[in-house]
Amino acid sequence: MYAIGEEIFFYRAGPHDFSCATCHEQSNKRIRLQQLPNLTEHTEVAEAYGSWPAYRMSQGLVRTMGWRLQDCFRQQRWPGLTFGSEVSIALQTYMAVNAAGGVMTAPGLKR
Amino acid sequence: MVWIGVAPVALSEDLASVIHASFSDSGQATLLRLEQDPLQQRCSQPRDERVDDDISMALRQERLNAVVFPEDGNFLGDWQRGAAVAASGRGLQSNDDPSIANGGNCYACHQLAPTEVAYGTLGPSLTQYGLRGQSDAMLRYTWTKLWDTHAFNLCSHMPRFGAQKILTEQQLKDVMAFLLDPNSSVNPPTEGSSSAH
Ligand code: HEC
Ligand code: HEC
Repeated sequence: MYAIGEEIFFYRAGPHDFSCATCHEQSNKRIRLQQLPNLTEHTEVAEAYGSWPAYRMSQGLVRTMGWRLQDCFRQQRWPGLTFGSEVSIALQTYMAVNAAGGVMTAPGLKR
Repeated sequence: MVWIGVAPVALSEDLASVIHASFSDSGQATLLRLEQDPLQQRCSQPRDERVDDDISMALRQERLNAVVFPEDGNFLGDWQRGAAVAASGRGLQSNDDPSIANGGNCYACHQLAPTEVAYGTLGPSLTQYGLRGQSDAMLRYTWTKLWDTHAFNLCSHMPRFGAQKILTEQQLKDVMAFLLDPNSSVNPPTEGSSSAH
């Protein structure tokens, strides 16, 4: 699962050629004003992974990591990710392993 | 994970089927988008594992040869319309209406007009880009960058706005003017310069 998650993280496809790595492979980057965690780096992925599920203030509800991934795939211009699918689980495994030893702070607060 | 040798690594049957089984068509974002072209296949590895070899050089040359320059030889449109294209992030997402023009989303990754503070930093700042002038070489360089950035920088993370038909030729001309027109908000008079350069 980890290996599949890693391959998907770097898999570029779609009209914009985006992969997760486009937005989450470097530290101290942002898109517009949104800070982008580097999910290949232990401290940052631990913080990001450990903060989900999270309360989305803009939506007034608690969302899961599965939801977060669906929304990132939408921005990536990919088709719809099936909730609970192998890709969803593989990516969460990839992040969980990179984050191993980190502290869970969920539920986090997101805008 | 092992990235073998120089040939583009074919997807393992496994990965391809896992990917296909995990998505479904959503609006204009269909499963066809999961198929990689040779460039995408070549560029799907961590940045520190990229190799610059004969295959990269050939791919880069192929991208360069495929660039389509404006038929009428005119590279520059209307900078104000270009400003709107640069600011719009809509287009090609599953929830976007395909009948409305796509945006270039340049501010997602670049600083442009200094008056816009909500800019991203995945790409370099383009403020005062117009100082580089409008020589033929500069026009062709910038057009090529926008058409297909991989013609110069294989595996860049900037989208191929022309080659992938994200923007139309007219939109590209307008964005060119936004970058290069001395009156554009990207190029405000700098301290010490008396008039627009
Ligand atoms: C086009 C850019 C883009 C792409 C591609 C992208 N994301 Fe994101 N991602 C974002 C943005 C923007 C946020 C929100 C950051 C914020 O809230 O500050 C985000 C947030 C996240 C978060 C939550 C971080 C946190 O601390 O709450 C995770 C996890 C994540 N993305 C994983 C992924 C994965 C895995 C992929 C590949 C399937 C991916 N992203 C692809 C832009 C992107
Ligand atoms: C997903 C992020 C992203 C988006 C969106 C994006 N760019 Fe870029 N751009 C980059 C990156 C990264 C570089 C630097 C690497 C390279 O040269 O390819 C770059 C480089 C450039 C350069 C060359 C800079 C130089 O100093 O020569 C220009 C010009 C440019 N972008 C213009 C644009 C314009 C105009 C748009 C909108 C139509 C745009 N970019 C959208 C990421 C992006």
